[in-house]
Amino acid sequence: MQTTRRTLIGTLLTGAVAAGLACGATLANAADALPYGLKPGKPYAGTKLTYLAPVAGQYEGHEARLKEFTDLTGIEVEFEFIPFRNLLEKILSIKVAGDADPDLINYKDDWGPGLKDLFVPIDKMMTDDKVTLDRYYPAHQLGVTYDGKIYGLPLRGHAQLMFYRKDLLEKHGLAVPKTWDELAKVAKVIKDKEGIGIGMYYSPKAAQNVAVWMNILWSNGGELFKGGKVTFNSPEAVEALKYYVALENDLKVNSEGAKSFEQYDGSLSMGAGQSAFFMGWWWHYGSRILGKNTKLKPEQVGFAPLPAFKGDKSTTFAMSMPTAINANSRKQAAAWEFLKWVSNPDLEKRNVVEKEKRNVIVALHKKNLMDKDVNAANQGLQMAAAGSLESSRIFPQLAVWPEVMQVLANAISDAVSNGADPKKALDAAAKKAQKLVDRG
Amino acid sequence: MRDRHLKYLLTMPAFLLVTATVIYPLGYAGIVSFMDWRLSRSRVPTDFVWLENFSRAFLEDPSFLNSLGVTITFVAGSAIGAVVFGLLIALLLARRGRGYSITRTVLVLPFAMSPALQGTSFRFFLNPEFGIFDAVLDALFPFLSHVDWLGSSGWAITWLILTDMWHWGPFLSLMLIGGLLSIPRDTLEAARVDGASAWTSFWTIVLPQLMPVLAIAFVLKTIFSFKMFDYVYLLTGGGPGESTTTMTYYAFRMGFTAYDMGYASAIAFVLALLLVGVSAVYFRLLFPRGGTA
Repeated sequence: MQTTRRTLIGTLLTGAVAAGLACGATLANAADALPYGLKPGKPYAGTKLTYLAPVAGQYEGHEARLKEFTDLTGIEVEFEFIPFRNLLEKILSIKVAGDADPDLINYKDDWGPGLKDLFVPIDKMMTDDKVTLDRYYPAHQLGVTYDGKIYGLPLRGHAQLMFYRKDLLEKHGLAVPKTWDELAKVAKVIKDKEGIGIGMYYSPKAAQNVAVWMNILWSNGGELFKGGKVTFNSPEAVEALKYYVALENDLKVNSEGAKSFEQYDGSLSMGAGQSAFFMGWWWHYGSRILGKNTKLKPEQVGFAPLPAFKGDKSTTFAMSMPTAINANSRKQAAAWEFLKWVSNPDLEKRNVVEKEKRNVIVALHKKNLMDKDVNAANQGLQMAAAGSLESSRIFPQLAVWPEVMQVLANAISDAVSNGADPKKALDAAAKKAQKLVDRG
Repeated sequence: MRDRHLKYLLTMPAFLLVTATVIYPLGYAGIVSFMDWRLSRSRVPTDFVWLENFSRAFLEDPSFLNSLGVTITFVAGSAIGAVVFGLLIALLLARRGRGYSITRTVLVLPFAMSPALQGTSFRFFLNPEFGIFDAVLDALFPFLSHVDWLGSSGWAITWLILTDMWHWGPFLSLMLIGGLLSIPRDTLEAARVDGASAWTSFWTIVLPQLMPVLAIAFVLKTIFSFKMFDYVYLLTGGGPGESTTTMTYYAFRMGFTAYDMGYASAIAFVLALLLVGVSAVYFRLLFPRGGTA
């Protein structure tokens, strides 16, 4: 076919127009596309959502940046803050009443199995918008998944770390302990020379003593349950409890008050310069160990993984606080838009890096935990937490776990405070727990 | 409108209010106590299990029986303690004069304070590292310097009782001051003229005449002690072990951590029955047969 000059010019012009149109369409789409998988065109503009969250700097950081979300979607969100200790009661009252309000609820992962019919499974929404759980560590992925369905996205979560007085260890030429035995020896030296020991806690209040004992138990090869049967009175479990009790009663390496202390008291004690060690959730670092009213400076405090009981590997316990959509909400699609926005890694990073208004340290996205800026702003805490989260486990996913945990907490407290025999205390607790589990 | 109908109309708002806030919740809790209602399974009660929740409490649950024992210990300690403490304050302040009036007014403050605030404050006061009570007690009694006040069963229940006494004692003292000031002074002066010592006057004149007020104060305090929850929740969390777990706290645990509302209602209902018994005594004292209050 012979190509004439006119044909050539025509073809080129047609091609240019087509390319221009295609390019224009792409640019228009790009202009419409919103970050974090948010739906373009503000389909839910004017919707007002309510969100129940515990009091914590992280959520306050979300609330402070709400305007960004409203500008993108036209959706308004009202936060309802409640102290963490009253959160479960509030959620249960919402469940009993069948309230459609609040549209979004933040909860603790181990409450999930007992509450899950209050929440909407979000698997399909996640698939449709290409949101995956891959961005979180396995412990946090497990924390939102019950019976194979995903019920929320983790917005807050904690790794356990051991915090220690770096200055005192250096002063006395001591190495950072890697096992519980080493910890007891180092703590003994510090206590003899400085008069302060481990900010340990045994109070059954809030059942936080269970988390410490579980670390020793897991590190000792023990398990809480096997095949639906309670096994936390096994020889490994009894040995773990004996050791935990011995720290207070025989080795005497704890600071004063450990029998009545809960986790808050332990970190407060360290922040006040009354303890040289504290084992617990990492969030204590930002507010209670190095907060405005504490005596310590960042250069005085080190952090490391929790010690191993036997061998060289510790298995720590991790928890998360996911946000879920209320199954009774009439604004579930808008609520999902908010959930996509509030769980985005950029928002989380800004919350942790920008320290001028609130000292937030909690991050959950793998990439944020390894991020250079995030770690620079927090003395490398997130990197250490990432190491801990690699091998972390979570509480058993049982509806009755909160009460089983309380039964265990009472048994531990009984052994350390009232001299109950650890084996008998755990046997009695196991019997009670099995009844609870069987009852369901 | 005839008077016969007017009286019903006038009492109707109060009747409706009491029905909505007391009779309905109590009746509903009573019904739920005979039902299976596990919140982890259903947001509403499911089947009638009749007496199963009650038999479980008394025959199968040592923690419930423990909570019953703790409640009785607490009630006995706090009711007797608060009344005696109130009486001691009353004996000191049952005088006429401006200074005494001001002091009596100030005495209302502990009772006016929120129990939640007091519970939190006492937990700090007793902290072995920086608690003011701990520091003072250590200075006064050096042999107690290593005591973890909330870390052993004996001390924990003792401090629960003392905290409650601090809250109630001054209020009860106001009741008793009223009683003391109503005792005829000429009787006391006659006894003094006859050579009776203050101690004898107290036992033979003051105490017998004060007995009706004391009895009412004691029964009233008993009723409130049975309901103890705040200080347990804030001071001890029911521990060490379960040594300070009262019935109200145990019912709360069963409802809000075990999600077993049926069982929690049964425990609460047992407590309600105990309270009805004590209240009956209170009313008999307040409104004796053939007399008025």
